[in-house]
Amino acid sequence: MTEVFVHEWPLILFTLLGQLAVGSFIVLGLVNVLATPRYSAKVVDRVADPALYAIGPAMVVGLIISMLHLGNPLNAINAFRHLDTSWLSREVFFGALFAGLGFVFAVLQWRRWGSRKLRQLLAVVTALVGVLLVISMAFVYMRPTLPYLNRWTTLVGFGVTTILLGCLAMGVALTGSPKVGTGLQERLFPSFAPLKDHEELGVEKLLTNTLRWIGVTTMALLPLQLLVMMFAILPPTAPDAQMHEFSMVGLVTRGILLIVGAGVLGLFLFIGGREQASTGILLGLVSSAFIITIVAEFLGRIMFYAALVPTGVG
Amino acid sequence: MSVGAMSRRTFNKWAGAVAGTTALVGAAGWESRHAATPAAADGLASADRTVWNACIVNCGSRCPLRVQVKSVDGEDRVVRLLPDNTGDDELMTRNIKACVRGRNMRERLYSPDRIKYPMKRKEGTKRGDGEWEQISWDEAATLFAEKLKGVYEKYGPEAVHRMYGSGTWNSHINYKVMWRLLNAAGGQLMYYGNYSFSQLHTANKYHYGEYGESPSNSFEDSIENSKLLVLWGNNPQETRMSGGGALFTSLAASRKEGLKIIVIDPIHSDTAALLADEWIALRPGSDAALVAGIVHVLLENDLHDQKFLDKYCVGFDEKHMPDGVPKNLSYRSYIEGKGADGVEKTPEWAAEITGVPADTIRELALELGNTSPVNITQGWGLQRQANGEANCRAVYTLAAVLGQIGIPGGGNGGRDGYFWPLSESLPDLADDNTTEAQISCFGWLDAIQFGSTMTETQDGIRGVEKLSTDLKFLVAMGSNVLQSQHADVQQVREILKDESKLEFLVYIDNQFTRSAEMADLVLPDCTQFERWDLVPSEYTGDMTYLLMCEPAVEPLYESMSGYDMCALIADKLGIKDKYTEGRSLQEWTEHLYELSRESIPDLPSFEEFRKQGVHRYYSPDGLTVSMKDFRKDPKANKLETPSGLIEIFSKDLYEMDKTWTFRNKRKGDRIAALPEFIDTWEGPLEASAGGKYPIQLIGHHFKGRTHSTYANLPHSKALHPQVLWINSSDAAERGIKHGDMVEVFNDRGRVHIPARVTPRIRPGVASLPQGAWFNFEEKKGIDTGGAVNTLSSLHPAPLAKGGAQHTSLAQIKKVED
Amino acid sequence: MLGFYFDQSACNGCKACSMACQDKHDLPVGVQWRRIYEYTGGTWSVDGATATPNIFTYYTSISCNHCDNPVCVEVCPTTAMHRDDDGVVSVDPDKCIGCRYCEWVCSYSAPQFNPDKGIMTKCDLCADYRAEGQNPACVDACPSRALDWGPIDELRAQYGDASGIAPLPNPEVTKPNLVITPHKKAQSWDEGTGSVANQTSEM
Ligand SMILES: Nc1nc2c(c(=O)[nH]1)N[C@H]1C(S)=C(S)[C@@H](COP(=O)(O)OP(=O)(O)OC[C@H]3O[C@@H](n4cnc5c(=O)[nH]c(N)nc54)[C@H](O)[C@@H]3O)O[C@H]1N2
Ligand SMILES: Nc1nc2c(c(=O)[nH]1)N[C@H]1C(S)=C(S)[C@@H](COP(=O)(O)OP(=O)(O)OC[C@H]3O[C@@H](n4cnc5c(=O)[nH]c(N)nc54)[C@H](O)[C@@H]3O)O[C@H]1N2
Ligand code: SF4
Ligand code: SF4
Ligand code: SF4
Ligand code: SF4
Ligand code: SF4
Ligand SMILES: [Mo]
Repeated sequence: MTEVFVHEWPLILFTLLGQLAVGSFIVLGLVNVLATPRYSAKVVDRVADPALYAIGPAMVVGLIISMLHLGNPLNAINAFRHLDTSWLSREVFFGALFAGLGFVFAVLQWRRWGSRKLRQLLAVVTALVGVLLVISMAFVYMRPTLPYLNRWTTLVGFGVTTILLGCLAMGVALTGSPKVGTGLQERLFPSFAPLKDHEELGVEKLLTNTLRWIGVTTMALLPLQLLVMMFAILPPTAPDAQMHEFSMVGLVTRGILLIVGAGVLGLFLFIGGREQASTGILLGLVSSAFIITIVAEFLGRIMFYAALVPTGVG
Repeated sequence: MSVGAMSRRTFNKWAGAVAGTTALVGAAGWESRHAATPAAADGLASADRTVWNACIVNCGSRCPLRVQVKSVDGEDRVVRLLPDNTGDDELMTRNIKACVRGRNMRERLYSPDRIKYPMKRKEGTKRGDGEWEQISWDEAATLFAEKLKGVYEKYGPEAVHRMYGSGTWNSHINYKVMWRLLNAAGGQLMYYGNYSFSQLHTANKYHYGEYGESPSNSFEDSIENSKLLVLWGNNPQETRMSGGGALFTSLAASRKEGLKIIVIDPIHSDTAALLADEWIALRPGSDAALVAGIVHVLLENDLHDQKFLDKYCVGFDEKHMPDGVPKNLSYRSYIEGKGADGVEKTPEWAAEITGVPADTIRELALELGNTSPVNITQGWGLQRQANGEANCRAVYTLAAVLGQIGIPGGGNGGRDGYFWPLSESLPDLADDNTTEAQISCFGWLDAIQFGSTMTETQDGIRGVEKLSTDLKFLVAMGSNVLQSQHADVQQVREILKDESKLEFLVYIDNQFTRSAEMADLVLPDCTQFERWDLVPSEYTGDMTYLLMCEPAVEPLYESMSGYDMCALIADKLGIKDKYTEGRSLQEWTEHLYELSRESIPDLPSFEEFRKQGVHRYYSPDGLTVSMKDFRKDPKANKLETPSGLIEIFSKDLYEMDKTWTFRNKRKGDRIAALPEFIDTWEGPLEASAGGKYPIQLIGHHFKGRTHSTYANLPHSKALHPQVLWINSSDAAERGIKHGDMVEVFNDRGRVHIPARVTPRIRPGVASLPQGAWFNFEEKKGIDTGGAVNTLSSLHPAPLAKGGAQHTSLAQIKKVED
Repeated sequence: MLGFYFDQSACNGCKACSMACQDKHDLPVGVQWRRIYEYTGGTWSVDGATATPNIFTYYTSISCNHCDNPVCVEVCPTTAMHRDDDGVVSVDPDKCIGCRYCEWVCSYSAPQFNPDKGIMTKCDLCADYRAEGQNPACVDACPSRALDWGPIDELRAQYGDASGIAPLPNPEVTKPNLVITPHKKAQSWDEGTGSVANQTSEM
């Protein structure tokens, strides 16, 4: 296990951070879309904008870390050369595109350039690219010679991780970001423009509602992820699959962490959100859930790479 | 059929005919598409030159290497090695392809372990402290000469010894240079036997009449004529790895339709895995019991060759015993339980000792008895045991009981036969030696400790009844025996440290081995790639050859060829002319070559040979059928035994048993007149009794290295790492998993090494392949190199006084981390 | 399309082929373009003091099979891993980024990462030797004459078309240009009862 970590840590971090970024973007987009009819644009922006800026760095850090895995990063530009058959090429392409579009979207949103419609369209495109990125990531590993990974569990598992981490990361970002800007922030970020009283109430409400839904989502995803975990450890049907390093302790630990992080804390988050608990309590809840879940997914990712064992004598 | 006189062309035709009749070419599967190496296999196109040289270690084969040299930054460097490109894939003209070790000779040439300049032990330090002072060649030669003269004056030549060392085994020049020097200088205590087959070497004298070995029929003959080939503790796929040697011929035998192969070995060797139709997995050291069980069945079923036994042997039954011995000492009496022990040697009896089920023994015996011709060939694993003398004679005896000796397709139970080379080597001036005294090759350590008390009937001293002095001046050249290949290396280390005993130890090698650490003077020989030599084939069956060794590069650092350094020392001793006879090393090479041309047909001129590299030749008598003259007419072609016949009972041994005494006598120390099973110290019975040390530990010869040579090279170690072979069930009992670090230990030492958990070895047996470099961590008292001789015993075999390193008990446990 | 022939019934696992390849290509320790796998299985039946083995062992020497469906080429993001017209699959060192993706997916461990150079390397079927009419180094090295090479059609015509021998994978996946004469105890890829017995450090 530790050996896998030592060898593959850049990829473990890259895939986790990438999925976190994509998930966050999607969650943020959903918050936007679902909140817009009921809340004013100002309220929505006040809640969502600060979180938006957290996504970019995660993605960029992820991409940089992924370069550390390369033996010869100077040639990295070549990685786009084989889009027609190589999922890795596609992954790199969508990764860069996602980071680029996300960056453009953030700048437009910040400067309030372009119409809201246009920006929303861009957000949708970016999110779609993000989805393609996660799909590419999965197909990188879903190769016929990798029998443990060449299964639906990889795709679904990556998808669940994406949403799970996205939800909780955004929960933390939304709850933790300042709701009242300093002078400088007010000048730099339009979303910190002073709000009216009822708008401030709206912010509170949107926040607690969002957290409630985040709680619901993580609870709903939990059984799915547990199911993925169970199926992923089944021996593949290929008779030429080799044994790989498998850790029952790791599996059980991950399961427990997920149940605590996404299940129990998700439930509290749901209740806390419904009861409109104080921001401090909510922040505590959602941060704990996020940390526990990301540790669980980190463990899961180490085990995932341990299963990266080709058939035959590969 | 005389093939020696034929031209190569005709011979090829003949070989083709042999092949044709036995379907060797067709069904044997040698119809290779690429028809061997294309002659145009010139390797690196940009190489400046390609010269012929060879791998000359003691591996039981010998291979040419084509060495490619290129000037890199103005300096000649060996950049690539190419295999032999003469010959083809046919049985008798086979291409002599080097093995995995020889192919890594470049790494040995440029190894950081090379000894770079002469060094003497630093003044004021003790032997083994490991502190050195670089000295000039002139100082080194002077020091050698002065010390030698001093020892001659004080103790005489019996105090001087060039110990066994096989690093350049049988190369025509380098191997001989030190014998020649010491004989010219005043003589030396010689040794008899060799580390390879000590017990067989001496036992052979009493059985077949000569010290040394009496090889069986060749594999080539078996391919042509045998129905059954038995490889008894014989592992040619690992111990004869040249593509020009027995690896090739034994493989060809396995492809011969109608020739069955049985392997008898505690290990599922690569030979067993690749060639065997049947594998009999006996306990080490139990071979004589297995033979007895087999003979019991043969007698029961009247499948023994009574006529052969009557005519050619003494001692098989009571009617054919030498005069003057009591009754019931014959082999038959032993088998039938009429001898002293009163035990009938039934298969059930044998099963308890050998661990081979009685039914298997019966089947084996019936198969042997009902098949003819059968060639039983034995390797040397079974004689490297405390009861090795009897084991090897037992296998000889089985060949006689089956009446297979001296006939085509049969064999006498010795190692697979060969035609020994005829080429000439540097004269060693043995006539100038002023003493006749000989110790066993294994006896040098005893001679250091108590030489002046060593006698014929206690220590096997030959030539004189008793040594006159302890050993004082020891030269180890091309020998890593001191701290790798002898037994119980830690004990040896302690004894060598006593400077009041051994006064001067010279070590001459090209790698700074563990043995070098124990020397007073270390001299850098160059490798064969840096000097001239001529090299004959070894154990390569019926295809014999001579190889050219031409320097590819100048000697590296301050190294110097063994010949030149001996000439330098001879100069200091005032015997330079006697030593060199006015010839340089290259001139000796040419001279010996010219002498060889007199006995070897068709050898081209020296200049031609430099281009040709390899010359194959063959016995004028055709394929090797051992003892065929004896079989034809035993009266005219008497053996050199007292009776002139095969002595299954040896009266000489019978008498010796009464007079010989033993130092530190251990169980089994006696001299057996019959090839009977002897229950010895740390033998199979002690192991199965399940005491403190229940595992029989052997150290088979391993494909990754030749003894300790090539064992220090990273590329070699990466391909063939050192591991302990342990049976899966023994491992499971001890909670050991494949790859776990384990401790192998007994009262002599402790080794830490990863375990190879495998069904390829008998339960109750483990093997730590011999030859790994000893790596002693003094503080912990642990060898982490995996040297089996950390655990083997110094106790010699009773008659031959050779090392019994395959006899050793140990325990194994997991190292908790 | 060029490929290899391997006579498993002649191979004793000596690894001279691998050493010759390492010598020819100056490969650093641990980078083995040709690797030899020991496959061992079976059991002992123990009855009191006696024991009877029923076990098997055979070796397989493998470099790159220059597959018809080279998954390594398919997944390579840079096109560094490519297949020439003669079927030989090799790495363009100027393009490779050392992502090691080809190494992950190859069921034969053919792509071998060279840590000194930071890029992937592998058997190119001794392109330079072939250009000069020489045999690949490994083929000429084998003391047992267990290796051969050439146009795969010819090899198949002469030696048949077995290649799915355990521990090698299902040949249908990458379609290796490899022909094997099986060892007498060889097991097919989907029915192997043994395991690869090489020490982990050994490969
Ligand atoms: N436990 C155990 N011990 C054994 C055996 C066993 O089966 N089990 N086998 C025994 C047998 S059969 C034998 S033959 C012996 C072998 O024992 P050794 O004869 O000691 O053989 P090597 O260990 O190969 O050591 C040869 C030395 O020669 C050096 N050498 C190589 N080339 C040259 C050269 O050109 N010049 C010089 N000066 N030196 C050179 C090498 O570097 C090496 O140090 O070991 C014996 N020891
Ligand atoms: N690769 C390689 N080849 C070598 C050498 C080397 O070091 N490496 N050394 C060379 C030298 S100098 C020599 S002398 C020869 C040595 O050749 P051998 O002495 O024949 O070699 P070993 O490996 O000691 O023994 C041969 C087989 O006998 C088995 N054996 C051990 N004990 C017993 C026993 O009591 N009974 C039976 N029936 N079998 C037993 C072993 O498991 C082994 O498979 O090899 C030569 N060839
Ligand atoms: S070790 Fe023996 S078989 Fe191997 S290359 Fe050297 S001489 Fe030939
Ligand atoms: S063996 Fe592996 S590296 Fe070679 S072509 Fe096939 S898939 Fe590619
Ligand atoms: S390591 Fe090089 S050859 Fe292999 S997939 Fe990556 S870029 Fe292609
Ligand atoms: S063909 Fe050449 S590169 Fe390929 S394995 Fe053989 S020697 Fe190595
Ligand atoms: S050189 Fe030949 S016999 Fe040795 S491992 Fe390679 S293929 Fe097998
Ligand atoms: Mo030997």
